[in-house]
Amino acid sequence: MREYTLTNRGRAVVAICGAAALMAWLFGARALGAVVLPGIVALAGAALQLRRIDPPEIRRDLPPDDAVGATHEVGLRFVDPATGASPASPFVADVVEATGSGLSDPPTVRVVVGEATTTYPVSYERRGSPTVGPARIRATDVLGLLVRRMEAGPADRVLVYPGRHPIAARFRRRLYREGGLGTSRQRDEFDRLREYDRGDPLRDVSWSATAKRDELIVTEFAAEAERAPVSIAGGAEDGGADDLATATASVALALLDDGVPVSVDLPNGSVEVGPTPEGRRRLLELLALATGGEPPETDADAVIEADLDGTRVRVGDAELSFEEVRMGGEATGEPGGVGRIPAGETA
Amino acid sequence: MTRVLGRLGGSGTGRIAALPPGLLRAPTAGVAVAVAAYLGVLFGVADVVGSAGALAAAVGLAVLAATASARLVSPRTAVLAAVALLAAGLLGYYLSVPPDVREVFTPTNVVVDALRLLTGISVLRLVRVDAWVLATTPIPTFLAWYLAGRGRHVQAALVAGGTLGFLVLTGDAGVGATLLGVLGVTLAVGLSTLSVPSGIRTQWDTFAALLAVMVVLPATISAFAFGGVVPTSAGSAPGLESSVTGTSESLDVVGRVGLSPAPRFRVESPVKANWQVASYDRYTGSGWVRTGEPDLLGGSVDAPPGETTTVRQNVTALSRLELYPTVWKPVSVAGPTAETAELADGGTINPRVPINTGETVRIESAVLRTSPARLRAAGTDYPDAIRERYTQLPESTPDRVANLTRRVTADAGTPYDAAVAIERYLPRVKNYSLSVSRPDGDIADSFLFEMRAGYCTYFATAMVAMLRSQGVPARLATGYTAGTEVSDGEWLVRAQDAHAWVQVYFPGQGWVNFDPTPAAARETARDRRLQAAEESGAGVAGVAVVTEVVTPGEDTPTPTRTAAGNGSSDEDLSAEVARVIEQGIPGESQSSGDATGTVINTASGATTPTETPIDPAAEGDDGDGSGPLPDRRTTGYAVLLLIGGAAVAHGTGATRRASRTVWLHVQLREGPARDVERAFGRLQALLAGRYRERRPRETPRAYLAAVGADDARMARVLEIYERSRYGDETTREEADEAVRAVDGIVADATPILGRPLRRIAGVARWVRSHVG
Repeated sequence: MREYTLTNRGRAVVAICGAAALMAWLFGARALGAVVLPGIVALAGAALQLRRIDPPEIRRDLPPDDAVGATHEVGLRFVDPATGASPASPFVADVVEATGSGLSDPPTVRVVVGEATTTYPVSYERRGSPTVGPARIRATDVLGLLVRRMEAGPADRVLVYPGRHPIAARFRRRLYREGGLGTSRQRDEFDRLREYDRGDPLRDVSWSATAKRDELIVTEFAAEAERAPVSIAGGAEDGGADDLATATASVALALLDDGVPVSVDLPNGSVEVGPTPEGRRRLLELLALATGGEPPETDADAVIEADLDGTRVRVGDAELSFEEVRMGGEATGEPGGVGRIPAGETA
Repeated sequence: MTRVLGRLGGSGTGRIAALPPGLLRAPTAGVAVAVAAYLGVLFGVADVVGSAGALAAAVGLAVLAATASARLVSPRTAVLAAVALLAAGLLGYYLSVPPDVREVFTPTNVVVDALRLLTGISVLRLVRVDAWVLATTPIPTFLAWYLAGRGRHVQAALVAGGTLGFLVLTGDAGVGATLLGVLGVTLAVGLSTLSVPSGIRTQWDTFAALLAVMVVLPATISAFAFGGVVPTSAGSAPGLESSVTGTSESLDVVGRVGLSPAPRFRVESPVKANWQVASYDRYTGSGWVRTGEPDLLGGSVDAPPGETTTVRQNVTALSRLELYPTVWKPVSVAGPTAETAELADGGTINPRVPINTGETVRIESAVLRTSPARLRAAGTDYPDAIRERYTQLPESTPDRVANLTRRVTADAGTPYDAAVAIERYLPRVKNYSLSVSRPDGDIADSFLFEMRAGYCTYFATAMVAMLRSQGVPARLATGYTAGTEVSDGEWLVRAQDAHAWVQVYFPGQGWVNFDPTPAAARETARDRRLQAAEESGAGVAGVAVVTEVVTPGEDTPTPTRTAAGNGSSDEDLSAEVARVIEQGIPGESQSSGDATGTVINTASGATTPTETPIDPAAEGDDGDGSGPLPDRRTTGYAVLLLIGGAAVAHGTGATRRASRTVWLHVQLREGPARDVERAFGRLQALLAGRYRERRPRETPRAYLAAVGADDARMARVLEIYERSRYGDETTREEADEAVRAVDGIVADATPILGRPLRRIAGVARWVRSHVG
């Protein structure tokens, strides 16, 4: 697409000037000069204004990594690539960001580039690591007659985590047992009280302490870190990677909610994390980028396999469909976030 | 501002009195200007035909309706309603047109007529333009205001601009009104483009500069190329002929005119008379317009109602002739192009196809035979159509015209006596001059009360306006005076013989000529020009042919009444018309030549007719006494130029650069420390322009070394600067030394541009040291 194009308004001005010049030539000048000349000045002025522009660079205020279904604001600021400061000559432009698949199409925003910062909403639609940007800028003159197209980089990335289903308590308890530790968590060795942090299991909230303070207070137990993790392995055939990620996220996050550490082996890598915010983040990063492939581990406590026929969870000798494991309802983006209180059953 | 207004509008939501939110936004100002531009033109039209009051009411209603409906009615409904109203209005207009004109209205004709308007036919030529203006004007006004109320300012500007565009095409909108409209549309479009946060704040200077160039450039070009805006600085004067007897349907009264001796046609006629080519009925205050469309002649037309004599004339074209010059009133035409002859509404006959040089047309006229007594007895029982059409005056005509006319005609008991009184009064109080400045206001009023001199158009226009102010139907006739009699009954007519005079209507008689222009002065002007052409040997073919027969001194005065009777008795009417005309009007009416000559003498003191400045090339005395003062347009243009220049300078950063240049060259003293600091600042600015800026952490010494500025003077300035900055107090002498050194460095860098600036600085310093 050409760099400079006339807008409809600009085309109208050209047409009016042409018609006026023709009428002047055919039937006499009258005051048509006072129509044609300003029109030409307006068009020439538009070209001059747009030529003067140096394409800016974008600085983004990126939204947090979050699960499918979340909606966040992206903040945009424009800088002069040479100086890093605001561009010397501000201009009016329609700005729309190019986004990778997995994000909603951002709206076009009209803004003074170089002066104002602007924000636009974006919805996380599919798991992955979509790009945000570069921005496509349609700079326009003060009368909106001419448009100059330019791209402003760089592009950034966000992570979109898979969605998550609540997992039935029965199944979770069974997994603790399979892990060989499930009979009792040694929750008696109290270590200390601290403020709630993103990702802490709700069952650790000390309601009595919370009632006395303004914020949520959780209890930390001394032995937790030493507990052996429940191992989860997963694999997927073509097209099943999203289902695998969702199922693995559901099961692993449910265990973390219960305070049980997990180790997850997927075709794209493995993590072993405890029920900490950092642990959840590392888990979700792995899941966000999960691909298809054979399960790297077949004798894990739980093996999750997804293909076109559905998702199955094998625990020991038993094989269950994922529909049987989850508590019903569609996947929600809500609990996947590292910073949110899980909405599912917590007991 | 906009936000405040917007909040006011918002808080008023729900109240009936609240304005629509769109009206409270900035672009509405642009829409208002654009609407005002075309309303100004249309009010001018309404003023001419006396319907300005009604139009104001209609426009007011339209604005109120638009304001009220902006919140309530959907755009679709509003546009449909506007189209329906326009259709209804135009239907009303057609019904208001006289039945005989109306019968030619077929749908095709209506469309063709509407399109023909766009080729430059003034709406003032519409027979019932009063009805037309009332029927059409409110519609675009309603629509534009409604759209602005809806926040659709660009569309509103389009409606207003389109309406103005129509008036530009019809030729009714002048350069000023057009530029105002362009300004309004641009404001509306620009302000709505910039209606994003901080849009106006960051872009206003660019926008202002653009607007300034958009308005100033066309104004400048039209001033110099077309002479439209700044008449005083325009080039040569137009010819009297083109300004009086152009083929166009309107006659703009212009300023200074010239005379051309080029031969136009030869008439073989038994009578000496004014050869009329056109008449104008609608007086616009700044000129004349002929209303109505000509019809194909097809045979012959009626003679005047009074007693007439048939006069046959042979008109031979000596240059391409687009008109049939005839003695009033032509009734039939024969010869080349006769089959295309058209009858104008006013009664003149003209060919649609020009007559070629050498071709001869035979024209038969029915010349009225009448007498003062009959004209006195004609009474005032005018036909309605005549009264309505020929007593029109712009509403804005000052009352003093009528008051003056009442005094002048105080003793006149009949329209005839009134006409004679005015015809005598005007040459007595006004001089004849071809080099006058066109007045700004109403031509008749300006001529009567502000100008000391004018030429035929001014005299005739003033007389018509005076007669009409008393309810006497009168009109402007244009054509040529009799010209030079080259042989018995044969008249050679040149471009310089072009003339305008007055026709007054008498019931039962018809149109009768009156001529208020001082004939002697006019002829002197003409003959001077001719003589000059001969002496300079201007090889005009026709001039050489006729030199031997030009005998100005023997010319009888221009007959003022082509068909007035002997005057002494009604019985003498059997006399040959030709003789009646040749002799002019004896007694009270025989006047023009001698009478006006003497009157001019007494009226203007030392000025005799021959001394009247008549050479069109003679500058200086333009007869209206406003010579040395620039007129309103010139002043307006100068102001525009000033504002535009300032806006452009600011928008392009020229002011910043200019002040920077002055800062670099001119340093006034403030105190040793400050002086040294500024001197070093100037040096640094100079080096920054030549090499690069000093980097934020770079010391002055490192900077000078890095850019390789190792001049001894620079080193000395640096030394003084460092000592002043980091060391002891600076002495007066050191400061002077630093400033002088930097002055020298700057002078070497800018040898030409800087000199005047430094001289100014020197003067300023001297003044300061002697005053302070």
